[in-house]
This record gives sequence, structure tokens and C-alpha cells, in this order.
Amino acid sequence: MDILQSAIDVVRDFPWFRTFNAVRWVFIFLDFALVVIFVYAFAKGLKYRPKFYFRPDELAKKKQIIKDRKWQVHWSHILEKSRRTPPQSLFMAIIEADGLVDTVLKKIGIPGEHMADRLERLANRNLNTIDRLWRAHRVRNDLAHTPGFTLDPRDAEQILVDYEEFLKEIGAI
Amino acid sequence: MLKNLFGHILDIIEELFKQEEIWVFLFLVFLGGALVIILPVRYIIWLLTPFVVFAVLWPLTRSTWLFWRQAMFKKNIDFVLLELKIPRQIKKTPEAMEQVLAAMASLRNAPGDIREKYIDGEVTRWFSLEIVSFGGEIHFYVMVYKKLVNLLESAFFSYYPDIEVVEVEDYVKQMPQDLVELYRRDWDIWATEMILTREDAYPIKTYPHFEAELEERQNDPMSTFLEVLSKVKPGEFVGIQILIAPAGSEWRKKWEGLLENMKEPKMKEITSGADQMQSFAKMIARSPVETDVLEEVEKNLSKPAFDTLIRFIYTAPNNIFYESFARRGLVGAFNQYSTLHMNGFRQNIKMSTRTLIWYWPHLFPKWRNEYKKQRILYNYLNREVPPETWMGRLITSHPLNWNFISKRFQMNIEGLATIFHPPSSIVLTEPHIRHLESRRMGPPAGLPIFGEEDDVEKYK
Repeated sequence: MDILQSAIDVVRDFPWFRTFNAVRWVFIFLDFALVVIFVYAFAKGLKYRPKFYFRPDELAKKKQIIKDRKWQVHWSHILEKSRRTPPQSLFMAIIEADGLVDTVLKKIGIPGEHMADRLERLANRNLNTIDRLWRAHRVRNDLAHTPGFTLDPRDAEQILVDYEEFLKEIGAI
Repeated sequence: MLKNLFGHILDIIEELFKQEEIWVFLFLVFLGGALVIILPVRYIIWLLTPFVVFAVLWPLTRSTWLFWRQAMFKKNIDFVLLELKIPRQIKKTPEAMEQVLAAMASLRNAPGDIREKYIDGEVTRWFSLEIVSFGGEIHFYVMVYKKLVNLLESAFFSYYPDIEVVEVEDYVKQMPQDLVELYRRDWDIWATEMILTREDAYPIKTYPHFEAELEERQNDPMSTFLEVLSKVKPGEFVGIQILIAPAGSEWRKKWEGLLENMKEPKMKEITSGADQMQSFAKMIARSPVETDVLEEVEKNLSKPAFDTLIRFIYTAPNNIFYESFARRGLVGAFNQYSTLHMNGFRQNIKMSTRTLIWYWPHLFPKWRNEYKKQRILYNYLNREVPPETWMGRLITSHPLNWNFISKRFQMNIEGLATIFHPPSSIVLTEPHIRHLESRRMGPPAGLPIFGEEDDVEKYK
């Protein structure tokens, strides 16, 4: 009986409430820690969320803004080089400008095997300068492939302006 | 009647009290009752709130944390794409592929301790088996973790000595990287994922069922795929992606209950003879097909399995885009593995990019369809497996496209070898695949090689 009595005493004298309170405070502290970890991990995890668009079909129709300082610098570089030893430098500049336009078109994602192919696909995009670009591209082809083809320096400058206008219209420079 | 009912209830209660858990439960209930009597309810709520908050927050935080670490781990896996170049004739049956897959199953990695699980975020690295058709030209690819390339190559060479395994540039880099870019190229996309019609324990129709002694009865299920894929027109693209991650040996345990249930014989008593001389006999009432199913399920569970996800996409320029080709042709090709009494494939219809207003939840079908296209294109290009954690799925969701649908199933190596193997000699492959025209021969053993250690390494 004594053993039972002492056991009951131990249970009764044990500081139940204080222990409970201590445990409770530990849990309150843990809760705050968990909130902090949760918010942190959530913010980190958001980076791995795939980015999707609302109405991608509408987005695709929009003219793309692809302004890039890189192209601007490239273009001014071409112009600068064209003025060095005309008329030869002008011809070189035309060929380079054509290359730049082609790179830009590829960057926008216009499919096609070569530049003429890509230009054809631009036909339904209501661009004002597309005809001038076509003309410029033909001249460039003549320059590159027909031996002995020459061009009046003033015309060559005009061609360069055509390329520039096109690049401005699609917003590349 | 009423007495019967009463007796039933008593029986149930008696059964309940035989369970051990009920006593713990009762103890808690009494303790709670006692507390309510001693203390006012408001006070109890105030006292217990921290514990309840903890009980809610703990799983959420754990899940979020795991997602973050696992996403990081997945992103950092270096994958390499290998192309299987197929010779003119392969005499091997899919059984050889089964052996290759068995070797792949042994390359499993899994988090072993707390650090690997919660800090490294380790997940089982997966492989991707792909059959791709670029405008009618068919290629076989296997994507594998960089450090396993050698092991995988040797597995292939030991069973398919004539195949060449070549590391190639990943073709998905040439594809539009998101839907906006795809639309700018004036293309469209149709895609879906496949799941099993019944529980994973039931096998599909596997390659032994396609084989026979007689030549005219030999079939190779691969031929259907090759025929469908070769009908792809220039400019179109079809890719079938089978993502597999070794599942470990627990997969058998998961289905043991089902197997036990099936084994339990349904007894039927047969009475015969006259009154005095009656003899009773018990007989197992199981039809031949039921026996067959039991046998097949047991066999299915006897082989290692992979967590499998089958996904395919079809993209084409808008002027030749014809989604029924993929929807009917490819899904139909998967249908050849189906049997009604066992298992088969069906579309995971909520993943497929065909959303009609008649399907639940009937709201914004067009907008949701655009999201579905983006999701499945993203998943295909990145060879994504769905996140393991609940919070991970929540975080990767979008308001109109929740990421809880895509799911993996478990399929054993026999089933996988049936749906993906280098076409055997029964199949007409000449017009569809660019073949290897020469045979590989190894150098004679013991050939003296002179050079530095690095030079010699190159020829090993």
C-alpha cells in the first residue's frame, strides 16, 4: 500500500502545470521558427516555378520588342566603317548590314533556310519597309555574287538607309 | 429482425474492443473529457493553439523545404542524350532490352540519410527513353545521367553487340522553347500523357504474347509505332518520351494485399449422392481466365519496376497541322498492349491539350488549353517528372492550371521492354530509319598499345 501511496504522491506533486507551460513555450518558439523557414523555402521554391503566359496566342501576334544595345553598337560600327574608304567600304558595309538584319530576324524566331525565305514569311506582318528591304537584299546579292557589279556611292548610301529604317521599324535599334 | 440487428451491433463492438488501438483512443477521449470538465473551453483553446499550429505547419514546411532542395537537385543533374544507331538487322527479341533495363534498374540511387534527403534533396535520377520522328525520319534516344553513360553503354553492348551508342547534341534545343515562340513560328502543338487503366499490379500485354514459334505468327509491337511515326510529313515532329526511374524493391510489397485477395480461393460446395450416402466436396471455383490473371499478376510482381511516365507531343506548321493523326494514331498504337481483363493504356485526359466546354469544370476551356499546352511543352523539353511533394505541386501550379494531374505509374521491366526496344528483324525498318551500314569489330585481345596512360584511355 505504501508503494502505491508514494506513487500517487509523486504523480500529484509533480509540477504538471509548469512542465506543460514550458513545453507550450517551446512549441510557440518552434512555430515561429517554422513560419520563418516556411516563408524562406517558399520564396526559394518559387524560382523553380515554370513561367507560363496568359493567352500566348495574343502575345505571339504582338510586335516583339527586342531592343538591344548590342545591335545598336554593331550598327553604328558598320556605319563608321562604311565612311572610311568609299566606295569599297560602302559595299562591304552593305553586306555586313545584311548579315546583321539576318541575325536579328533569326533572333526573333522567323523560320526559314535562308534570308529570302525569312523575308517571305514577314509578308503578312504589315511592315512598311519590307519592300525596301527586299530591294536592298537583291542589291546585296548582286554585290556578293555578280563579278564586276558596281554601284553608285549615293545609291549605296541609300541602301544602307533602307536597312536602318527596317531595323528601326521592328524596333531592333 | 430487430434482435438480429442488435446482435450485429454487439458483434461489431466486441470486435472493436479486441483491437488494441481502441484503448489508446478511449484514454485520449476520457482525458479530453476530464479536461473539458475541469477547465473552460476558451482556456483549453488558448492552451492548445501552439500544438495545433505546429501540427499544421510542420508538414507544410517539410514539404516546401523538400520541394526547394529537390528542385535544386533535379536542376543540377547533368544529363546526356545518347542516340541508338540501329544496324540493318537485329536478331534479338525484346528480351535483350529487358536485360538492359534490368541493368538500368540496378543503377538506382536514393537518399540514404537525413543529410542526403533534406540538404542535398536527392531524388532517384531518371532515364528517358525516346522515340522521335523528325518529318518521318525515326530516331531512338536514351537520356541518362552523365556519370552512368559508360555503364549504360556497356549494358547495351553486351546485349546488342551491333548497336552503336553515340552521344549527340540534344535535339530539344532546336525546338521552340516556349509556346509563344512556337506560335511565332506559326506552329501548333498537341500533346498528352498516358496512364494505366487499372492498378499497376496488372501487367499490360507483353512481348511473350506477341511471339510464337511459327514465323507467320511472330509480331513485334514496335512495328506499329514505326509505321505511324513514318507517316509524319516533312515539317512535322512527333516525340514519344518514356521517363523511367528505378522504383526499388518495395513495389512488390505495395501490391501484396491485392495478390492475397486474388489467391483466396472462392469455395463452392458440391453435393452428390442420395441422402444417406451424401458426400461433400469443396472445389475451388476459379475460371481459367481468373487463374491466368493470377499467374500474370504474380509474374508481373516478380520483376523489378520503374516509376514510369509516358508523354508524347506532336507539333506541326499550322497549314499541315492535323491533331487527329496524333490523337488517334499514337493513342491507337498504345492500344495494342491492352487487354480488358488485365491492363492497358489510356490518356490522362486532363493533361491532354484538348479541352472542351463539356468537360468538368466547364470554365474558360480556351484559356486553360493554352496553359495545358505550355505545361506539357515545358515538361517535354525539360523532361520533367512531377514533384514528389504536395507543396511542390502547389508551388508549380497556376491559377488556371493546377499541377496535380500528371502522375507516374509503376511498370516492370518486361512491360517497358515491350514498349521500347530496338525493332527486331521481324519489323520492316529499312524505309524509316537511317541504318548503320557496317558492323563493329573489336581489336584482338592482347594487342600491344604504346603510349601514355591518357592515350591508352581513349581506346578503352
